[in-house]
Amino acid sequence: MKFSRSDNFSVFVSILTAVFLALSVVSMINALATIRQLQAVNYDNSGLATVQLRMHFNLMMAELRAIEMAPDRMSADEARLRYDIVYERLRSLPQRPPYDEILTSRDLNDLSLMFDRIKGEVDLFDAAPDEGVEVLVGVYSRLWDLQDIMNQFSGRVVQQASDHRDEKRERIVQSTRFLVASTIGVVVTGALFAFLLWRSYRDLRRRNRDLELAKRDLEQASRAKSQFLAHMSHELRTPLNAISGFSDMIRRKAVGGDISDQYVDYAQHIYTSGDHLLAIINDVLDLSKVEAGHFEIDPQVLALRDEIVACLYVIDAPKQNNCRAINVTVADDCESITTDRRMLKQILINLLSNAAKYSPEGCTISVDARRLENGDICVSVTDDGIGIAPEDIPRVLEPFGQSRTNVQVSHQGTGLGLSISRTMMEQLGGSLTIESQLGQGTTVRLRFPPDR
Amino acid sequence: MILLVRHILVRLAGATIAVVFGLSLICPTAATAGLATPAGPVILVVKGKIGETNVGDEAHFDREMLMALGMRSLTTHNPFETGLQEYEGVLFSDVLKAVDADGEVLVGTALDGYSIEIPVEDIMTFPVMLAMTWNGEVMRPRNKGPLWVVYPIDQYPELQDETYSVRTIWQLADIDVR
Repeated sequence: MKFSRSDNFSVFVSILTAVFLALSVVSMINALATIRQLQAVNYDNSGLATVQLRMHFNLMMAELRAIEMAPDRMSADEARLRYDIVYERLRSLPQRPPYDEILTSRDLNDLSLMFDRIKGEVDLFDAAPDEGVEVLVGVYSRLWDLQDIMNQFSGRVVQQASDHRDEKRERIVQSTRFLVASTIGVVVTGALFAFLLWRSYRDLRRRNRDLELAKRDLEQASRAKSQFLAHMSHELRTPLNAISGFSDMIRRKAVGGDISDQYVDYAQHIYTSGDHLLAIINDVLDLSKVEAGHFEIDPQVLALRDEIVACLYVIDAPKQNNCRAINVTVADDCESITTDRRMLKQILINLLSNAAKYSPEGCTISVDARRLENGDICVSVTDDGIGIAPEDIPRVLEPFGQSRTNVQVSHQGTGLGLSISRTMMEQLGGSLTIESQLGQGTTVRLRFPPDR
Repeated sequence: MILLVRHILVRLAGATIAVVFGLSLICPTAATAGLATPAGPVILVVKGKIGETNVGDEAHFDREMLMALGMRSLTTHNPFETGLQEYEGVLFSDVLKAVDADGEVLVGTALDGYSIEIPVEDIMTFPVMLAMTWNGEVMRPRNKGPLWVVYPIDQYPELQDETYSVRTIWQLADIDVR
């Protein structure tokens, strides 16, 4: 199977479209995931939790400082609340998004250090409600140095969160660009497809127009050929009548006179050749008429047996070839047939002539007519002659085609009989088939459609 | 005599109307008889579009009041913790029913000021819990208490999404129904 350049281009465009479509699907999935992430409006993408941690830590330290300065004027409740918040935030910060992604080992170390130091004061904060706020005096001084660590920690993490957010934003931008690019790709390949479709349509129309013109030219040429053949045949037959007629008179010494036997022999050759030429001209004329559809079909109800017998008389097989017997069998249910008399007779004469021509002396020819199950009438002409090699059968059905095994007798025929017969059978709505083996005779089957 | 009886009856009827009217003025929260007043420390305040109140136009809950709504257990994973976690608490929807909430969005605020929007649809579609104990321990601010909004993500795999993760607010103290 060969691909033209146009086909290759179509395949290329199809692959390109498939690739762009796949890319678009991937981009859309990406975009949908991004949109879902954006919909999570409370996602902490600016380090807010760290800022809040520092704020609560500072509030706690302020409260502890106030307690340290005037414990008798303070309540432990606020300090405890701030302590609990700071405690919980320090513990849970590394686990919540986006800190689970952005915290460095230095951040985690700082967090761990601060958490351990804060946790170290837990017993005092738990004891404060029962033992009084005084137990918290000194906590501020012990945790004082954490303020610097906390400030540095939150500053770094806020920056990291910001970088992380920028990365995310860049990913969104990239994904959007990707989506736009693949959409443009789909649009462009779609346009190419539309162009290819339009071009195919245009080419198809052009080819249809060319075919229409070619068909018209062919019909014209065929008419011209048939006309030419008809004219030529007519023109050839006229002088041929003179050749045949006068050579016949000479060979039969019709006008008397002293003619040497050699001239009589020459006249015999002229007569035989003229007769053969006439047969060829008649066949060529018939073939051109059949091919041009000029054979008008005139269906009539015919007595099949009578028609077969009449054809046998025409070819005079026993006299021609000393055939030992000609058997004609016509089944009761196909005594009558509705078909064109002229065509039927010409076909039968062709087949019977062939059977007689290509069979040895003392041959037997059988003509058998019967009705098939589907209502068709099958007329078989069988001989026990030289037969045809199976591979030659298609050839003998073509105009001027003859079996290679029949070369010794081929000069006796024009090579048109079977071809004409087959074309005529097709015009009658039937078929002609040949069954043969070399040296074992030939059966030609004619199938006529049922009477209508 | 008849006139006297009639006079007394008219007076009694008038007095009764006055008493009932007066009582209704003295007890403006008569319609919120279903919501008790908190006896212990308040751990949750619900405000906004609610039909039941007990302190001004807010509904205040202490631990006992919440527990009275019916304690439930839930065992599930949590996006912020490792391994299976066990919780006990009340259904968020029970709290909303108790205050006759009529809104579409809940704004939850934690003790530390953190705030988050939770669609009421979440609460009505899934058995979201307001957890009060975590792995057998009563939750205090130090371990995400007093209340933690917990989504049953093991039971409903569709909840295993960041959209819901950020709604699992802990140290919850205030709900504004909008």
